[in-house]
Amino acid sequence: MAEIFVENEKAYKRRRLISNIVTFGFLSLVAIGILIPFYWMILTSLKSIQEIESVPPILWLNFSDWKITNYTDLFLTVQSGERAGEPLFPFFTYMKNTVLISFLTTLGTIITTILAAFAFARLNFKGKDTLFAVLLATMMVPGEIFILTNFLTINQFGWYDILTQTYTEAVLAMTIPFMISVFYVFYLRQTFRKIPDELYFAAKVDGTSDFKYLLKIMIPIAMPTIVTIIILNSMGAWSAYIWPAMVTTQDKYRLVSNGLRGAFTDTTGRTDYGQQMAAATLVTVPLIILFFTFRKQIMRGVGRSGIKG
Amino acid sequence: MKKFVLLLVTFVIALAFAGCVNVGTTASTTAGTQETTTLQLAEELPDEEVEITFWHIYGTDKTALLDQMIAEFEAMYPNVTITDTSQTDYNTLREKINMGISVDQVPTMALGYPDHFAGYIEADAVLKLDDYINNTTEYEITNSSSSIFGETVTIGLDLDDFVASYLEENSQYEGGYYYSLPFSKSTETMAVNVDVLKAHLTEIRAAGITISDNGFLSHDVPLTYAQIEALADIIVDTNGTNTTTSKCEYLLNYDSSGNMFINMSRQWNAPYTNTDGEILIDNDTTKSMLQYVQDLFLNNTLALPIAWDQSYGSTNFKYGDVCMSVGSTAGVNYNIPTDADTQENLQFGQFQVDFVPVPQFVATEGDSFTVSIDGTDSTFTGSLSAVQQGPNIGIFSSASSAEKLYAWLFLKYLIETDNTAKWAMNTGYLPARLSSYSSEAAIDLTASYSTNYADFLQIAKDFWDADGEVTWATTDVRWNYLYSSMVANIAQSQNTYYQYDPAFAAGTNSAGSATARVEAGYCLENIYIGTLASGSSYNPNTALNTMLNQLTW
Repeated sequence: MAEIFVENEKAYKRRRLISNIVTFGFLSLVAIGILIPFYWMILTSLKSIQEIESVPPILWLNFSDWKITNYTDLFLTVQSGERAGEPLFPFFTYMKNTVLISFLTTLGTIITTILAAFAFARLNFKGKDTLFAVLLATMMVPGEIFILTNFLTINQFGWYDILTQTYTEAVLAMTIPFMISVFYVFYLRQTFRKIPDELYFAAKVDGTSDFKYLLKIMIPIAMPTIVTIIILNSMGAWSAYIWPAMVTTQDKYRLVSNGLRGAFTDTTGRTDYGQQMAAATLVTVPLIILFFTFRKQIMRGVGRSGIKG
Repeated sequence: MKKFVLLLVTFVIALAFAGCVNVGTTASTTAGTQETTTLQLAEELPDEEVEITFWHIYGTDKTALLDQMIAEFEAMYPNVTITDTSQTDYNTLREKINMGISVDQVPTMALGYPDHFAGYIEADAVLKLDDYINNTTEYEITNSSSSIFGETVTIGLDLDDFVASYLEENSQYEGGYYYSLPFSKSTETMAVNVDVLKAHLTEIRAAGITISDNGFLSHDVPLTYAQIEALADIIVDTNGTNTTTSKCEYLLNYDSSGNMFINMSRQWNAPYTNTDGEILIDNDTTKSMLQYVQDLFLNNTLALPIAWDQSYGSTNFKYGDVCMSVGSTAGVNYNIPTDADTQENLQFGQFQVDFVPVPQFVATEGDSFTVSIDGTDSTFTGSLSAVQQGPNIGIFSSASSAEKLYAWLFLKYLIETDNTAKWAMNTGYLPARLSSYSSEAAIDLTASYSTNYADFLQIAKDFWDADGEVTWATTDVRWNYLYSSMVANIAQSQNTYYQYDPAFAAGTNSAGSATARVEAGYCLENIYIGTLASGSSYNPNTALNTMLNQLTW
């Protein structure tokens, strides 16, 4: 009898070993697939033009062949013109803009989302379901369609004047149109609806206002969802490209994404990929630090929503 | 059911909202109704503060020379400020202007391709430059802080000094008016592996091709395709590059298949498109041309970069897979094998590279030529043609009259003889003006090396005159500019037969000219791939029909 147990345990251990090998083997393959672009970015950032164009591609560079000047050149200063004395790639300017835009957009989105989700989840008013359905329907319209209407709106507000646009106007133009997201409203409303009605009635009996109830009860309960929204929205704002390029009139108002794309086009229209990738690597470093600091929250957030930013 | 109806209703509402997008850019005028009004300029040069915005796509660190020209211009006109901004890439630049037109937010002037301007003209947003070009007004500079104080400035522009086809390109629009002027122009030239040619001197001479003792072909007279075929018989080894017999796997690479389609159509006088936006490729001459190209693909006379899964063939030219390569003048140095390359990849080592004009079918315009297509000889009337590319600059009509006037003066300043020569040396582009070729304005190419365009051109001439055996020291700075100088000379010899690509925006029946160019490239690539896969049984008309389907609706 005992032998059977031992046999079973052996078989079980073997099965577990095989399943572990398969699982981790598969996960390693996927991880390699994800890491390759990063490796390629860093590798390209260290290559000369000839090495970048080499066929077959060079997959490994010895330390002595590293072209560190791709990095150091980024911090050279511009010799002449309007930007004389400033760094070639205004890394800190772009970074500051990106952080500010991400922060403001996310703050705005969170405020509108919480209020709208509360209204749709908790309050009763005429046409609530129809209004909500209409909002959901707008999700079917591709975002690109809104570029034109948003552009006209921004212009009507006077935030896009190519002669006089100020930094504040550029920031407003970049943030205001993205301070609401129907998807997040829908997402948070679902969470709010899971909170039992009894809590609301109990709070009401105690004489709490709707707003206080939202602030004191609902938001703390729905915090994980809100954190998810914050993370996803900041990631979206971070990688925005088309809109910031459209509504800013000057280079110094733009984001890292625009800078990476445009700063390395030479006068013949070719791109200096080595420098571009060096800059891209520099931009990625803060994100990686951020990711490792908030790894738990980000993983939980992405896991909960079931979508990738 | 109720929910379903609700859903349906909301869906319809959403679509209705999406349909509400109302673009104001459709305000169009027909150029036919425009009148040639004579512009009334102010008596005195306006002295108010004027700000001019100039949009381009040059990266922030690549604009040193442009910045310098702007500074010089601002010193000439102290009341003018020029703000130049990069809009990152041509698509963003065009989109921003197109959207800006509807809300009157366009720059004073912008860089752009002819199809961009064709779109702006349709929206009536761009300034007709003829009024300035033909204007006889002169101003005396009375501002004592100006760097040209006391001098006289003329408004008019002498067009005779410009390369003729550049002018045609910029006045191809309805009514024949100028809506832009040439700024950064480029063309195609052919890089040649001199070492390989030198190894076959006797055979090449026997084929009736002029070649120097050190393997340099003529730099004035283009090779004909008949000669290209003869060279292929001598140099190509279809089994792969053979360094012992000095043979390449392919003879000639053509970097841009789109350019090849368009340029060859012109050389064959085969209709392609016109400025009215008609797609004319469905004709017998084009079909014969494509069959001829297929034959060249079959025996490795001609290859496209997709042969090596590349977008450009320059790397494989350096590696010796192909002995000749047609590419843009802007990418010259990508063809030169150097110490920076992985040496074992260079099958012919660091061989000598030369540049010659792109191959033609005839020696003089209007001659007839005979080609063998599928074993049958056919005769066609040929034309000389080389591709002309690169952006132009235009001014927008919404600016104030003072802004327009100064924008015009700035545009005129950018394309002055000396400035366009400097720009050409600095960027690898070609000067817009004929007089630039003899410009004596010096520019600092490096901290210790300064030269002018005439001397710059002389570098290659000296090299060729010595048949490559110059006695320059290895540290001589001329080596650094030898190849740029070569293509500049070749470009000059080609500039009597540049041809432009008719520009038109997408219309009701067909796609725009930019799409046509892309599809023309795909057409040749499809023929190349089809021929590789099924040999001569592949019918090139299949690719042509696909192209036609993509372009017309």
